[in-house]
Amino acid sequence: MEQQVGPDQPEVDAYEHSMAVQLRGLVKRFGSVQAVSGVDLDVRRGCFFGLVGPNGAGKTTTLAMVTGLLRPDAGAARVDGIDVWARPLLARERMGVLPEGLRLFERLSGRELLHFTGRLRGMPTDEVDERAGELLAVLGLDSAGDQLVVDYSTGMRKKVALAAALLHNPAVLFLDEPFEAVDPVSARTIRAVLRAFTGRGGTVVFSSHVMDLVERICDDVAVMAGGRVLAAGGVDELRAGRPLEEVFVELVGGGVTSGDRGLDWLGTP
Amino acid sequence: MIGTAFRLRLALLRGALRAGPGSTARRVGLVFGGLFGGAAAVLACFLLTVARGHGRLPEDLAVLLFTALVAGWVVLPILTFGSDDLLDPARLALLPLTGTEFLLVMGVGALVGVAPIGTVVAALGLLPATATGPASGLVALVAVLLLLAMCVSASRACSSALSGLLRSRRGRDLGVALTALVALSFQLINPLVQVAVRSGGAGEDALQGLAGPLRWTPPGLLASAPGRPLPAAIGSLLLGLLVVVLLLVLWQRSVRRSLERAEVSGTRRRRSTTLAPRGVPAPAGRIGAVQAKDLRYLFREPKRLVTALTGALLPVLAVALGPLALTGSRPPAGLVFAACGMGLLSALSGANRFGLDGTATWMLISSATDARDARRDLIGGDLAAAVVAVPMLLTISVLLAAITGGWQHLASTVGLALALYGVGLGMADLLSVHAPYVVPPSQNAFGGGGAGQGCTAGLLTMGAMLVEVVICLPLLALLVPGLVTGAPLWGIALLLIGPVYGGLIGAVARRAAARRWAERGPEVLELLTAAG
Repeated sequence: MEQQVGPDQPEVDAYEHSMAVQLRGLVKRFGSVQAVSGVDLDVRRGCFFGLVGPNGAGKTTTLAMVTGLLRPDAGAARVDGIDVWARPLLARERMGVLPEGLRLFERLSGRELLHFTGRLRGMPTDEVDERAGELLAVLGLDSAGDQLVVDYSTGMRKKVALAAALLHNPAVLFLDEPFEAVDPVSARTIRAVLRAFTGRGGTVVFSSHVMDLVERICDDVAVMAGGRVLAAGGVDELRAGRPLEEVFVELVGGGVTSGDRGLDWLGTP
Repeated sequence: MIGTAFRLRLALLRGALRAGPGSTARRVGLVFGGLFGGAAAVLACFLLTVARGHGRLPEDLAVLLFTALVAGWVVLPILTFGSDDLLDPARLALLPLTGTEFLLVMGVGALVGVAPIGTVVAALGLLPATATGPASGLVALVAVLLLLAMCVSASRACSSALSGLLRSRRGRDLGVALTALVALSFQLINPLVQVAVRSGGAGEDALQGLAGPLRWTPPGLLASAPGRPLPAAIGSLLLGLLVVVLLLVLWQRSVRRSLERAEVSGTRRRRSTTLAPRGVPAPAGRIGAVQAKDLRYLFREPKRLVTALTGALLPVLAVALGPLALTGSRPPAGLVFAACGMGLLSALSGANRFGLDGTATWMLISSATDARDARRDLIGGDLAAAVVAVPMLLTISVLLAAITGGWQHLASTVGLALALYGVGLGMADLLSVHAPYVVPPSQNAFGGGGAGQGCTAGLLTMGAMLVEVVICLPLLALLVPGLVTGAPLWGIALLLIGPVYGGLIGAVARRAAARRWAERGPEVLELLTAAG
């Protein structure tokens, strides 16, 4: 993954063309906190890419900077070959976003929210109608489509937000914690939809800290901690036969306490 | 247990005042609430004291006061539910408490604070007002204590019984809407009362008429006890005690029920097939989408309705009804121009558009794929505001003309008001983009404004109003000759030119705001996210 850009121009173009996302030296500081300190990352086209890391690793901040929602202090991000911060309008057309910690317009019903999103993007009404209906049906939100999003469960919110991100058929999907607090059935539905999306050439970049899931569904993965990318590459290549969780803990440096020290009283009658 | 509950209550009060988002507003609120409540309590006590010896007046006043106190104790916690952790039994559900201990903790919570102290201070006026000797003095003292017990038990019995509803989203929305309604109705009640008082015949008769039946309610019985013969007084007190005991039983039951019953959240379906509300002409594309969303929100998010209503109606009510109340006669014809105040103010209720949208603003930013999209966002929002405000402005202008008979000023009023409104929309766009601030997702519709930001926002709004007025000064060239000569042609000219003038200036301001919004959208979002 961390390949060097070659000196030969045509080769560079070919390499860049094969990449859906390229991050170079992304930096973000909030006051005295360095949230992201120089992230370089390449994501292949058609790839199911997992961004993993402990809480506070800088995943959300990085995704916000790639998706044009948070201006980086330094560095550049290209999505589908377009510089996100130099040509934001063009770049936004190519991407679908499901951010974490940002609300939706929750006083609209699920169906209204999709209509709203489609019309914001200038899509024709009948096309929005058709796609919204299909997305709601596939994601199992058909019967809840006329309910206000504010009354949705967390899983339903994630699903309707995913539908909104997919509506305009983007080239690259950025999903921040799409599986957080989602029930197994919904998670399976979301996975199936995303698999179909990558199967047809779409690229998915998503963050998570559920290693099992990342191991199962991702082609490539990057491990982040302390605002940096510690390792990136193919899932199989990275774990080298071991469970991903073990590699992750080793990289991140969190010592696993055996539970022998302290807490002697716990569980004793 | 009581000591623990007492410390818990104090810790919660301290926690509420600790630094954090909105803490300044809370502190200011508490200080003002305390000062206002304290002053009202002392005033009530003082009134009762000086009423002594005026026939039945002191007793009537005491009956009204006691009834009002119990009513206040019942209504206020329902309106401010969620602001007090010890109001909701569910918040205490995880503590290992028995049924009686539950009541103790909640009761101590209710008895420590500004409201209970104020209640006692006000009610203690009963002693100097009605006590004639040691026996009736003792009766009055017991009556005050029973009143406090009645206030607390009635209040908590009601809020506990309603806690399930109040916890739900729909219930909270209802609370916000009701609070706003109460506040608005005060604006109406005040002039009406003044009119009633001025028209004469009110005063003691009205007081007696009101207090008569209330004497036989439980708080009324307590208030009138010292004035009765001793056996009847003791009987009244015993009846009061019985009511308190009944309320305690009810309270305990409702606490138990609210802990046992699962929460039911409302899932009413919306049968809308289109985004835009029916009957509202909506442009296509992004402008129409934003307009439709804003209109939907106006009726689905009470916070917005309150902002729109207070921004538009309060100034008119205050300006128009105030003089009506003070003079008591038909107001002067020139009062029609009060509608211009609405034109001046109501546009500015949209001056924190993205703050109201909160972090959902990202949906606008990430879907802007055309250089003109930023302007469409602002136009859509302004259209939604205008769809509501302009008809309201016209209605109120006509209404004022009908009340005052100042039909000759109607055309110039509408022209001037629409000019101010048009400029105001542009100002609101500029403020929305340049000075957005976080609106905390609080239950209280009037608790808007982040820490220290409310003040800045207020100053900016004042500035924007000043700019509106200055920009519209050239229109005086049409207004003044009309007023001097009385020729209707000037008014018609103002009616035609005013809206165009305001609209054009507003459009220029909007264009500047849109440029900023297109460039600095992420910064606006960062501001709304960081503090939210």
